[in-house]
Amino acid sequence: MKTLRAEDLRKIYGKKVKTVAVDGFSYEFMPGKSYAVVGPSGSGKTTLLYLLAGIEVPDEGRVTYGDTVLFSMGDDGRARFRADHFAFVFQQFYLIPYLSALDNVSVSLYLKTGRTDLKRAREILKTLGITDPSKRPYEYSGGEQQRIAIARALITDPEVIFADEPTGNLDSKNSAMIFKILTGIARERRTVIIATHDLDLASTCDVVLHLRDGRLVNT
Amino acid sequence: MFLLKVVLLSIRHHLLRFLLAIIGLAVSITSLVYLMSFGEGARSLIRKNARAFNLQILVLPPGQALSVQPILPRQLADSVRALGVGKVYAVLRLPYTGGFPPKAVGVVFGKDFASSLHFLADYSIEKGRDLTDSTRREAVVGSVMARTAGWKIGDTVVIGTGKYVIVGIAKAESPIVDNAIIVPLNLLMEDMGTERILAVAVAPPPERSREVVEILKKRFPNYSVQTSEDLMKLAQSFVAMGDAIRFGLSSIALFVTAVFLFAIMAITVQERRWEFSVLRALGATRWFIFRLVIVQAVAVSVIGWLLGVLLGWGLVEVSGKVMVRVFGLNLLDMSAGIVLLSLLVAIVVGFVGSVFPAVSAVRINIREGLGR
Repeated sequence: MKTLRAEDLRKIYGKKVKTVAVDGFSYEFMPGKSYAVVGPSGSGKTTLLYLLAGIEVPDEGRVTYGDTVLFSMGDDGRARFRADHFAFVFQQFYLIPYLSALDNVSVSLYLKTGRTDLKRAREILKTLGITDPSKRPYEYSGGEQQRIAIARALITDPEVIFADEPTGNLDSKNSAMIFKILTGIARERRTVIIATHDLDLASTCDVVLHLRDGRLVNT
Repeated sequence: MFLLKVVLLSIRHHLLRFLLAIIGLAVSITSLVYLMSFGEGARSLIRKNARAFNLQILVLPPGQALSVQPILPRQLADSVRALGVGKVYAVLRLPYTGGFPPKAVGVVFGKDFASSLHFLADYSIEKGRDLTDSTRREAVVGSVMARTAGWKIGDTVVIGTGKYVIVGIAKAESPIVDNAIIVPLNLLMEDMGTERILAVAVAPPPERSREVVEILKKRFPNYSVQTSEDLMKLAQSFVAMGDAIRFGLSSIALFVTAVFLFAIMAITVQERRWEFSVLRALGATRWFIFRLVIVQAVAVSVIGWLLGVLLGWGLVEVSGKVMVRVFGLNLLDMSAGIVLLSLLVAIVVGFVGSVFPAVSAVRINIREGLGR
């Protein structure tokens, strides 16, 4: 079983005025569990997710997934690694506006394998309640758009899913639904890490990590 | 295929912007195709005429590669003939512009009855008969000339001070002869008030070609002796020079289009920063993003090329028809080579116009691109 391990991660932004975004974060994320990273705005939740996913490079510390040290790879190596093992869900959904829901979902599989699987994309979307996948993103509600984004994440069969404030733009009903889906995904032996400031929703996760000023203060 | 689908849908999404680039490309490619077709038409004419003309060697005025004024004595033809080096023909031709505005533009040739060669180029009589008597003011006209001028057998054609009755319509492989008026050489000289000719053409037995050139050079050191190959090379070099000038002119439009495309692609990349960042976060490599931008610009270029080639083809066809009606000759020929060249140019323009925007797309910081 592969685990995602962060060791003494530190990230500082700015040259003249330095802001410590993540400060000495260490933790081991296990498969089959959902994690909520909570904390006030500016506590370093997003930066932590980006560091764990290999999008941002830490100033100190390291991230390993299984036996692989993420930052021993170059930028493109990490991108390929992300395509193979990780997936991302964003607050603003970030669906490509000129592609249908089906094509949006197909994009990440294409990035991983160089091919698409429309049948599988359709099945995943249907499982998430999107029965007509031919429409473009603006034709769906916010909740539906986030479910399409989750389908985009799931189609590559990722081992770790990062979700950065996935309910930030949704009403409470849709937020609860998205959290239910994401925590449910964790039960399929995947690791799900969700950054959120909603403590109620966070409590539905298996583990809640509290960040303050970039430091892990409590679990 | 999926990448191409994404690219084409993105073009459709930003249609107005890309439409401007497509139109720019189409106009540039149209001008390239049209201008280059002139060179191809000239080359094709030269090839057709070279095949059709019987002459292999020309004796020309001293120091000249081509002659436009009749300055050689007529007797020169007799002197060459006396050498027994082959069939000899005294050449005299002048441009013909009939009517005002001109309804027929072509060439008048003198037929040298003293030569054992029937004419400079082979022709057959389509209607009527050939010239038979060097003293009768009769003319044979090429089929294209007859059609454009609306002449028929029995009509009179005026050349200088002379009037000639058309007795035959000729059909020739050479476009020049198809668009010519042929009259007796001595009468043409009389009408022009000259005792001089343009050149002496010699058709030696093929195996003696080189030898005859040497004989003529030795015998007439004060004249210029040119082979048909020399003249072909000269004509081809003129056409090539013209090609370079025309390509240069088209390049200005293409350069402006490349700059325009660069501006459009730079704006597009700026606008799509978040999109590229999302793709990078989902696992797209820098090379994938680079390819995405380049393929998009090249796709725009190829669409513009397709439109430009169609427009160019239409323009070449219409202009060709007008040229045949006015001049009797079509100087335009849109070959497959031009189509391929224009495609290559369009792809290069697409690449050049997008390479810097593509590099900037690759350099986007994912976090900044996502606005987090």
